[in-house]
Amino acid sequence: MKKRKTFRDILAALLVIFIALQFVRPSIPQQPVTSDIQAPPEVKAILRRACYDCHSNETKLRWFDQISPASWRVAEHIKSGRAVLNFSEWDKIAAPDRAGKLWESVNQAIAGAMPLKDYETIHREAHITEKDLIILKDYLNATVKDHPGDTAKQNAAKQQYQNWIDGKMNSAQLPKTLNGITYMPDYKNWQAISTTDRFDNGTMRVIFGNDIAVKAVHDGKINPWPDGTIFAKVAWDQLENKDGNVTTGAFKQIEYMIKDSRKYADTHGWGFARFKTPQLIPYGKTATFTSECVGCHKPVADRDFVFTSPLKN
Amino acid sequence: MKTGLIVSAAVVLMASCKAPVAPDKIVNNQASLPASFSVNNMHVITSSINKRQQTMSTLYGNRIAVDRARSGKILAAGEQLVLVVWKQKPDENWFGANIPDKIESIEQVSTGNDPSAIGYKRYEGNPLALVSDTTGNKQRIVAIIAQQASVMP
Repeated sequence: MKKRKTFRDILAALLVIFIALQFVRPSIPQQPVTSDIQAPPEVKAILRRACYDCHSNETKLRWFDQISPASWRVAEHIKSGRAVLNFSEWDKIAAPDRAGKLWESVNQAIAGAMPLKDYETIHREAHITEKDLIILKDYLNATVKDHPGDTAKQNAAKQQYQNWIDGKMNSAQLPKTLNGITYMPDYKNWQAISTTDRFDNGTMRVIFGNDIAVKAVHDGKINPWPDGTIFAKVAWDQLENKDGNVTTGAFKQIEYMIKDSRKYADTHGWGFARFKTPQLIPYGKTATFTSECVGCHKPVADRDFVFTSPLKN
Repeated sequence: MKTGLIVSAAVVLMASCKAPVAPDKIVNNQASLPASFSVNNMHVITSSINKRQQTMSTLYGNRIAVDRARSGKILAAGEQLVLVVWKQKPDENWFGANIPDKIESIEQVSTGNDPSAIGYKRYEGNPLALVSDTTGNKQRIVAIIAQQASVMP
């Protein structure tokens, strides 16, 4: 009898807490649509259905999204979602980066990383089907255009090459990113563990690995990669001639991944860095830029956050 | 209550984590170089793609060749160059990228004490076998030694 009473008391207390919680609501800012992404209707329909709740200013809250404590998680999703990608403020993304955002989004969907699983479980209509993926892929594939004999690109490459062999690119001081990673010029004497033809953005890349990385590939110990592993991924413009031959054009950027499971525990054991243009400008406005790196690498969490499939040299 | 919490936390964790992929499934075995063709004592000079043939290639060189190419000079004595050509395949991890697939050919160019004495060998097939037909060798040598080094600041 006493037991039953205690149980009833607990239930009553929980109910009171639950009701009280409803008065503590997270705020979801109402923001105007400044420039909506332009895309064919069938593509737009998928984006609206699967992405817009968290990646636009046109959030549609259902009644169950507004019940605390779930509403706090919903608000957090929306806040972080809009910060990463907001289709309602498409003009705020630099024009050359817009296509990159779309390719990344579709890749997140292909990998099943987006929409977020807990969101999708409750919002069934947000599920991206195989048919949806075909529509999205076809749309992106149609945006890929070859530009053989691009004279602007050729001239940029020529000038850069000349500066480089004349030793005019050697800076006295090595640049450093905000998370404390210094440019490592010796990457060029490491082994190449793969190359990629990035037709999504018209670049081509060589991925270099230091001795520890190369040894790990040979020993088959790459999931997880050992501490001390460093990758350097270098990107160049694709320079295509009329016969479809593509050579490396202007140097675009270099990206590093440094494995140190303790030092970089907050970013899954990897230190991320990117240096852009021959001036090697460190990427990132604040030290938290690495959350962007982690977000993109999340779909390959089951491969220790590494996209590259290394080959043995 | 406590057990319930632990169980539900475990369920959420399991749902959000995928089992790690086996390392052997990650290594690009098909594109890997056979040990007898290893370039592990060489460095990258440049890489290229052929859109029509859907191939991609990397030019490696020994120290002499790399230093020469990176300073924009002409062929020197004691150079070893290796050009590996792969068929391309779509990158399973990134829609929008192609990566190396099977090796199509490996070409080796070398110079002796006299840089004008150029040796050339071409291997094709699976397993890689020396191609005895020498037709077109001259053009291939010219094409390989003409490859400009990629800009690497």
